[in-house]
Amino acid sequence: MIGYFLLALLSAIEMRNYLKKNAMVDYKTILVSPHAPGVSILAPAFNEAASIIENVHSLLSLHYNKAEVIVINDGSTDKTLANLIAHYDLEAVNFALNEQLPSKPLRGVYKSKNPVYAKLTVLDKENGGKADALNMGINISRFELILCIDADCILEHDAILKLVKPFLDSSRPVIGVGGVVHIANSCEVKNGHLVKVHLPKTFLARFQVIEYIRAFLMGRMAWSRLNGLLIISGAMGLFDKKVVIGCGGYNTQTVGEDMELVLRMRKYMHQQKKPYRLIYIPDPLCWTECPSDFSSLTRQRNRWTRGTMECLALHKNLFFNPKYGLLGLLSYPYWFFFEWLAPLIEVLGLCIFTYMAFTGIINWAFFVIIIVMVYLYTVTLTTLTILFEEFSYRKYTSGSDLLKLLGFALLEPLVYHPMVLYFGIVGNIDFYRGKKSWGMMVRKGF
Amino acid sequence: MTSISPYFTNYNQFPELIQSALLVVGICLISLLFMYFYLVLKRVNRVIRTGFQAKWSMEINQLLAELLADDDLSTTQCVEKYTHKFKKLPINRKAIKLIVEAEIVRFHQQFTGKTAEILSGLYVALELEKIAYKRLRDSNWENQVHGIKILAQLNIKQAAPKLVALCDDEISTLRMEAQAAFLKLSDQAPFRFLDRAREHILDWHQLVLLEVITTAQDLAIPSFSQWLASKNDSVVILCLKLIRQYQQFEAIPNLLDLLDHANDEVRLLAIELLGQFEAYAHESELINRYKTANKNEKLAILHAIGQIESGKQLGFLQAQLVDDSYDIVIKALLAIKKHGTVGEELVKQLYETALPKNRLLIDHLSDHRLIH
Amino acid sequence: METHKPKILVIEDEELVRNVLAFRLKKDGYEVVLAKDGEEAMKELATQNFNLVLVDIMLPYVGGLELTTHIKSTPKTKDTPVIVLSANGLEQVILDAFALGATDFIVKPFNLAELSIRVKRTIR
Repeated sequence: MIGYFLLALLSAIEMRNYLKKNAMVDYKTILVSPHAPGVSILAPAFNEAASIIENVHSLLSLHYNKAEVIVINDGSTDKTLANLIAHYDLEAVNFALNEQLPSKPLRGVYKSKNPVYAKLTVLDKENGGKADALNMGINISRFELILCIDADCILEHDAILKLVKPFLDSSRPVIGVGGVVHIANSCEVKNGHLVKVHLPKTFLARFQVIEYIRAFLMGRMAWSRLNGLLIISGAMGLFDKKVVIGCGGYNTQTVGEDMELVLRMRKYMHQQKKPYRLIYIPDPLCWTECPSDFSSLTRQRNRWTRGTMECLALHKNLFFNPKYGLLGLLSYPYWFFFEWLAPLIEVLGLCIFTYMAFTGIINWAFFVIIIVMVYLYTVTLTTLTILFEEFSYRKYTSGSDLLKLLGFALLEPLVYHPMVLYFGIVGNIDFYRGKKSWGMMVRKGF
Repeated sequence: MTSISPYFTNYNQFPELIQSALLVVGICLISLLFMYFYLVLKRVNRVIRTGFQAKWSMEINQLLAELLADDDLSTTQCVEKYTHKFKKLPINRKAIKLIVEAEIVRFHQQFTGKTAEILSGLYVALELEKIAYKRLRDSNWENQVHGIKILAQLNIKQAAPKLVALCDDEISTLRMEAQAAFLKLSDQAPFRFLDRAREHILDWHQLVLLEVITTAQDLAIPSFSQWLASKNDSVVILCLKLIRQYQQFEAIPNLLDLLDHANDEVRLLAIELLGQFEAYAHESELINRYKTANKNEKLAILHAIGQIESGKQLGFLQAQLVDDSYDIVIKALLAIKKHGTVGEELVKQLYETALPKNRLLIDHLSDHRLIH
Repeated sequence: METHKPKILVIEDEELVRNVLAFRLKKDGYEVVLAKDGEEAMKELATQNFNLVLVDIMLPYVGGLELTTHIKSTPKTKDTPVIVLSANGLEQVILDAFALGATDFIVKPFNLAELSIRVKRTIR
């Protein structure tokens, strides 16, 4: 409880400092400056024929001068590539690949005949998964920063400007920056751009809104302040390409490739004995569709649990290892105990409680007091997060949306949390059974 | 219903854990009620404030749009005419004053020339600069920054002396904004901060300063080589960028000295500038350094040789084509191509005898759709 | 006989700039049609004839350069001159605009009097 309170406090301080520092920043300075760093936007795509044109269109419209968009068609079996070639008037070019990171074979590199789309490069490769696609994108990229995104996410127009700034105004070299990912379900989207924000219509999606806000604004902001981040969301992350290549690129053998990369980048910097920072900014820059049915959510959370466990297992040498500073002494142990073990301990607690209840050794009055305390504490923290959201970017401007969020904060510990617990347990079981698959999410589209 | 009064009267008899739990319950309940109340209050306030601002912003915008279209009058006449119109608004109210200030700034950001002068004139005529000056004296640095930015945007030159002290402030954002504003507004030694900078000038700070310097209308540009001996590496880096911007060729001798600088970025910039300035006489100096240079410096040297285009180093460039590094080979090929017809001929010859992977490299470089 | 005023389409998402341009151009004797994004602009272009299009590069949904390409490649509008407005004055951006058929390029923040002269010269 004290831990979560401290996280809340650190988040509040970090957000306040960020908002104060950037309230009057004119991002046009970065936009028009020839000295701004270049950014390669890497968007892996697999079987996204229906939405790929809109997605690429929105990436090409992002406000940033020195950028290129690299779409990596990861062996799609539908018309993803064909649609791109037709719409953007693409033709194959002779590209001498510099294979700095191993990946599945490249089948072709395409550029547009139309100079309007000079920034766009489309790669066609054999299927190898998201991590593999990103590695190929890194091999092709020209610029020093790489923005790794999910092609179906919607980015705010000024996302790159805001993500780049921390690279420029930190006293220590920054190796990665992430921003807040919001839920786009039920939002109004036009030509790949978010026009109006609405709270999702489904119960499950609403719970996830609360969960995401809490995870980003309370969790990641605090870890950013401590420089203890272990993950930058795979939906959107801006990285120093040299460091990514130096540490070997994305791991294609894990489903938690986003967390695994950050862990390896951090270890790499420690081994190089170079100071560094990984930063989260509280700007809501990325909008993504979340699962709105139970089975999709189960598959997603199963993958997340397995991904976490794979990463923790791969990097177990960090556990309380002083050689890695805060990473080993605080960040890794926190994830180990609170992200992995927590559901197991909770289930163990439930089992012990059940036994005690049957054997009649529970003081029910005290039990109720403890449960009420836990419930109210959780609701208070969640409400505090909604307050953070309200006083920072206030994306849910409608009064009724705010009331619904507050209402769902009351329901969450009773309805959604048991589901999360269930996902965690099943994820653990599947990890030990050796399950490796990604699972498919049924996308309803915006 | 079970009475809860025992939980108060018997509080001290409970185990410590339960006492703590009850305390936490109490704190949470109070916090929740407070947060709900606060959220509702803030929302209501926001709705009222937004409505008020929207109403007055529209009226003020109309006046400003009229003012800007009123081109027949001189600046002074226009300012006088519209000051009179603005004074008919309840501008004594602080809230209205702030809206007028914000809208004048917003308009000023979009236009230059006579339009901008009229807006600045109107701002002063309505005595709105007093708000900005008050902000400069505020104890919160973010308010000070607000004041500085408005004064700089509206080109209020009389504000320059008030910024001197802030140019050395320990808060980096405040210091940066004050320096940028001072550069724009001051006629007296606007670059004094380069002499006084002790802290590292962050990349963001440099971007802002570069933007201000390169867009300032009547700023006297000094010879930036006078700061190349600074002990502050970030000052040297900033000045090198400015030397590049303003094509200050007289800095070439200083650039040669910087080839031995301890800072990697300084050395790189010095090499880049020698190339950009086509320092033909110093090409051999760069070649001599090549062997012991790190990878980034090698790439910069190859690029510089290409820009210098003396024609004397084609053999050297050709020798780099067998390097293991893809980047070095690409850079060497590009440098050869930059040598006009001679370079293109050499590349054609190389193509005929090259291995397939190197032919692919040459084809790659020759494709105009691929940017290098 | 009624003299038809030259008609200008102004495509600009910033309301303030749109309104000022409308005021100024109307005062200069033009008929002005406003559009706040590429989609609205395309609808206007399909239904009306314009003597000039003033377009901001940074528009939502359909960028200014893309719109310029569309204007220059559509038979109905290919001869309509286009002046591009942009906060981004980098050389490559200007070259791109001219390569796509723009007649003129004005960097923001801009001088209203200068814009007025350029519009007059282009329409003539």
